[in-house]
Amino acid sequence: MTAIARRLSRVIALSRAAVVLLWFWLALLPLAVRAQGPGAHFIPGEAKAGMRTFFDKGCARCHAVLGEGGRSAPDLARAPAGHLGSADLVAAMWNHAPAMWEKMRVEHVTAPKFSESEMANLFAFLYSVRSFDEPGDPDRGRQLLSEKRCLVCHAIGGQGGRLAPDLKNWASYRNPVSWVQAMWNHAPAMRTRMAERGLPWPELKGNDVADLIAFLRTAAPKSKARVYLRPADPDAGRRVFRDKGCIACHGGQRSSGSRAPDFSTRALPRTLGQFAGLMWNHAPAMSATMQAQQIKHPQFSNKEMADLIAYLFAERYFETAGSVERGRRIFEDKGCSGCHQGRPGTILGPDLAGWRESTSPIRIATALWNHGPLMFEKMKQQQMAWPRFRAGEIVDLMEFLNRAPSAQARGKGKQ
Amino acid sequence: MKLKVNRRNFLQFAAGGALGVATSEISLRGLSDFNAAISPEEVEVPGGPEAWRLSLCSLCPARCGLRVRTIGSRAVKIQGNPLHPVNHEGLCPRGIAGLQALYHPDRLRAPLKNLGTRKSPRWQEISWEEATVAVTNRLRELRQTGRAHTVVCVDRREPDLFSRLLRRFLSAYGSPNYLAMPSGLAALQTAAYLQQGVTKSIAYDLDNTRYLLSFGVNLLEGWGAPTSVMRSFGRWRDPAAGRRTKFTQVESRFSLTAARADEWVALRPGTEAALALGLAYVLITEGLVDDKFIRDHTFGFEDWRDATGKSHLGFRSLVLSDYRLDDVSTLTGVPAETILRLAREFGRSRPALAIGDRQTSTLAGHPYAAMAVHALNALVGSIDSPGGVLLQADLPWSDEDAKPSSLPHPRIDQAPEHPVPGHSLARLPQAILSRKPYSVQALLLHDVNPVFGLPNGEAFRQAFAEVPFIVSFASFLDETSALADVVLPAATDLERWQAADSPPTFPFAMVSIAPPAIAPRNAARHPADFILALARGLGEPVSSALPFAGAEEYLRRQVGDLFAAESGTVFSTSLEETWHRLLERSGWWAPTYSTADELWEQMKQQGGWWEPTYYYGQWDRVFQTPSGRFEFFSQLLSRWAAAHPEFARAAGLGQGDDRLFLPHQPPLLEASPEYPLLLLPVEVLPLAGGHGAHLPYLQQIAGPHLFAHWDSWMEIHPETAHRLGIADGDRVWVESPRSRAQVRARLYAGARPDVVHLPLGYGHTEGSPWGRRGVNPLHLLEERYEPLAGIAQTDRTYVKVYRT
Repeated sequence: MTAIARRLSRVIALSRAAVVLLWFWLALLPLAVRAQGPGAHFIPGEAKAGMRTFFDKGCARCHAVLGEGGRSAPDLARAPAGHLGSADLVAAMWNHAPAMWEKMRVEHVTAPKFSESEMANLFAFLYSVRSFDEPGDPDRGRQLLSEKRCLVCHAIGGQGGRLAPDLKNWASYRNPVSWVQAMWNHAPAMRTRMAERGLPWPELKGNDVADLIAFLRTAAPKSKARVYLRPADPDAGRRVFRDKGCIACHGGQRSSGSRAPDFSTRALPRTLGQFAGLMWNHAPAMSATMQAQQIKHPQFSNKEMADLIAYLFAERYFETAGSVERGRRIFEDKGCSGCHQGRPGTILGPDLAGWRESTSPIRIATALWNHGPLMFEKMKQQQMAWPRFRAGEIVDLMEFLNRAPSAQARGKGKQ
Repeated sequence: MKLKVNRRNFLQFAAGGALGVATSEISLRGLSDFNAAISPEEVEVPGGPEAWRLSLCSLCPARCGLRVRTIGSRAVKIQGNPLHPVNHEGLCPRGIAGLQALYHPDRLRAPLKNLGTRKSPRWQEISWEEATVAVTNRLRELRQTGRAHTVVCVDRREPDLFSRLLRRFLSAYGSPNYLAMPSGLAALQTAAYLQQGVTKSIAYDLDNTRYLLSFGVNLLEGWGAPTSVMRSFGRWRDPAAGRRTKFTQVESRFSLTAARADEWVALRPGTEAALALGLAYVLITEGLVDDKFIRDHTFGFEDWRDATGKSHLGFRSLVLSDYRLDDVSTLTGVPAETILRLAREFGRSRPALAIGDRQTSTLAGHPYAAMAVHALNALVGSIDSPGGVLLQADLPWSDEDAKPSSLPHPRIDQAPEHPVPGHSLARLPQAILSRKPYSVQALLLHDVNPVFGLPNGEAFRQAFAEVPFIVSFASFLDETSALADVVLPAATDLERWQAADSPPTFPFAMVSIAPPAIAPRNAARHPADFILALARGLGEPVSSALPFAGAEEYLRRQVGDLFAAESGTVFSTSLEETWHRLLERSGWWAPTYSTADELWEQMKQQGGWWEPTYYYGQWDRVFQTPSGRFEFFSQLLSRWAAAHPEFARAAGLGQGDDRLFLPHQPPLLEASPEYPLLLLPVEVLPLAGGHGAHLPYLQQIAGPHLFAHWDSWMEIHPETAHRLGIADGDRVWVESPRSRAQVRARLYAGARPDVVHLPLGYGHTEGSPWGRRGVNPLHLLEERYEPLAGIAQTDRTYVKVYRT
């Protein structure tokens, strides 16, 4: 083969390779986009990939999520109770870690290591699955219908009141959010009629909505229909929050004197259905206020309600900024400075200066798993107690690490 | 009874089975040479591109998902489909043997017409066109003369694509007579109907139970969905599950299932109901019952008064008076201490599950015994709860094809003397011979062999001889298809479009589908395609009821209903399944498809669609009795019996005896001096369902515990054999009042001294020479049917055994 032919042959081969690579990138790009999903920028990581991490790393060997997985450790979708933001999650993980490692040691299980993307996915998974409602208790649901006096107006399969629709019409709806959406839209009319009859507004707490649905499902006609909701879109939910006017009272720039709950700070319940129940409880007060201000009671479709609640939950994944000063005190009081502060060559643990402007719950959790067991052993050798954190302390600590000078500088400063 | 073999020894024997294969009379190499000698074309090495294609196994009701490796146009290996929810890539020997069924040298190669008589058939190969014209003309003539209702179809028992198509065809044609072979779950379903008021299939959450008490169910030998059951069995012992499920097998014989159980409890055959009620005695007296469940969800536990003020016996009173520990111990042969311990274990290990009685894939047990066993589940609250008894979920598509016929003529197999279900295939011969309620003019048979597979098979032979026209879809000639006028070669699983619903005892709604993995061999065709051609040939209204070009189009239309349901997921990995379940339980649905076409394509690629979520607590679905509760005292039965006073006599009780409507121990039949030994047929996994004797793979592994294969064997206790002068391997006569047969005796300490066992599946007289060996124990059994549902009682025949 001549030199020109060899060169031409090489060019052709490289061109082919380039085409293949281009095809690959083009083929994978949609996957990458799809993998993000709607609203992905709200919560880093991808929940479904996080579930894979949960099982692949062996977490499911001990832990379950909503009953799926092991049983020798807490079900991470149910415990701790209540809503947990990302800082809450890492605090819970941190505090529990030594007990977990000890148990793993006894059962000859090697502690897994994580990349930050895996940890982000895992957090996204845990955050998402913790927001899921569980099928309720039909016996409790039957009791609630009586306690809440729903049957004064509503019937079930012809048994009960005649003033409002038969609840069996909605028995095929499986999602608490669907129920509350229907109830919310109906609320102004309901409020009027209940006031006329001197009936108290039925408040829903805990798993009440799920329990009601569970009972109504048992009373459904023998229809095979089951109506689910598609996964919600927090991006769309933000637009709903704005377009329906919620932002006027509940937004960050609220009008002064507004008594509307600030969703950026108010404690949230764990699940979306429970949150929907709170909206329901809030409806009379809100309705009265809106009426006084001549604001129309917003109506939602199923999807809009789901998107809205998903948006509010997604907003609460991240905590508000902490305090550098509090964080510094925590850094010292918890003993972190004992290992992570001092002159180069003298500090026992890594200098956390590299964490400036990049500390996050994900990074802490990743370091916990990758570095923590060694840290724990060293601390035991030095008879140092494992520090425990409340969620707020993690937030302050992160603020400190994000803003504080290097350990060397801190060490010099101390001197 | 003392058993000299223990589990350790048995396991050694079983492990030696593999060695036995190599030292058996017919080695695998010899088999291969034998096969090559009679079918030299089978030795060709296939060429062409390699591919993996999906299919479904039809060699048992489980309908496991398959992956078939093909090279060119030839299938060379069968494995399980890893995405299929039933078998998750696992496969039992029967599934693997499907390859031998596909390439069997004795498969029917073309439609056959009988030019001779029923007794002396003379077969001629004909074309499909000729066969279609013959069948079409006959059915058209019957319809035009107002005799459409005289056409009877007998189908195999698994619900699938073809059964729906057949039902629709018959309904449009004008016949109410869609009959199916009986199932080994018939007694259980009868109990479910009487105690829960449901006709939907009962299912079990075997994965999550903590204590399984099996009354004679051959759990590991073909019952239910075998691969699914075996997976659960593995999980019970998996340390990663974080718990250990105890499995206790109550059975008179030391079966393979008993050998693998944690505990085997031997009892006198036929006393399962008594033992179950003895356990109930302990549960009640020691307060181990679930009071809340009994209070909230049952009826008839306590004595009660009806609307007229008449007092009725409740379950508690019945048990405390009739099933005291010592009495039960004496009757069953189970020591009282064992009964006490079992009951305490059952009552304290929650969730606990009792299954039974005496079920195999074909042998059904007794409904009253099944009611007694099912009552245990109600006592401990294990109904519609995790780890307990469930009700198979409904499919989200139309059940129009499965609804009872609304045609004016009654079904041919009416059995008004039975409250459940009111008809019985066993009645068919009598109906044909008596011409009541009308004369049967034609039979359509789909892959069924009642002449071989039912105790009154000879009656079927005689009756079928009287039917003017019989068409049989079959892949092989057998005892029943040999009686047909036209035999149509049916494509096997791997050669045709398939769809199957949820298998027995599987809780979830599921539709498996599979396109053909390879083209049909010879002239075999999909029976569905023939029926559709028949419908077109018959014209209106039949043709418009079945407006499908072929099986694929019919199935594609059905899938449209699945898409419209907006629930469920296509078969996928266990992680995907978990994700879907997490979402769906919370009210969310995230499908991988957005159109019906996408769903169809994904189902074809992955094997099917299902709903992996079970919703507990739908009590109006689970209990459809008059009380809306689990009925220890069956009001459905009592109301029916009030109109049928002869029922009490048939059940061996006096009229007005409340025990008729409660679980109780049925009367036992005692041995006679002339016939001192009880004959109990047994089902072995390779030949489960009575099929498979024509497949060498399965013949080779039929009886590993005795190194027995390729022929029937009779298990007899060594002490009994010694008393009769019989040595291991001797040929003996087994004689019942009905018939006698020669078989080789095998000494087996796992049999009771007063019982002998013969395996089902042997004794063919037609078809492949490989299957024409051995003895069919069903033809030795006396015909006895229990009064509730007309289920054949296969444990009521006594025999005598003597050397030839």
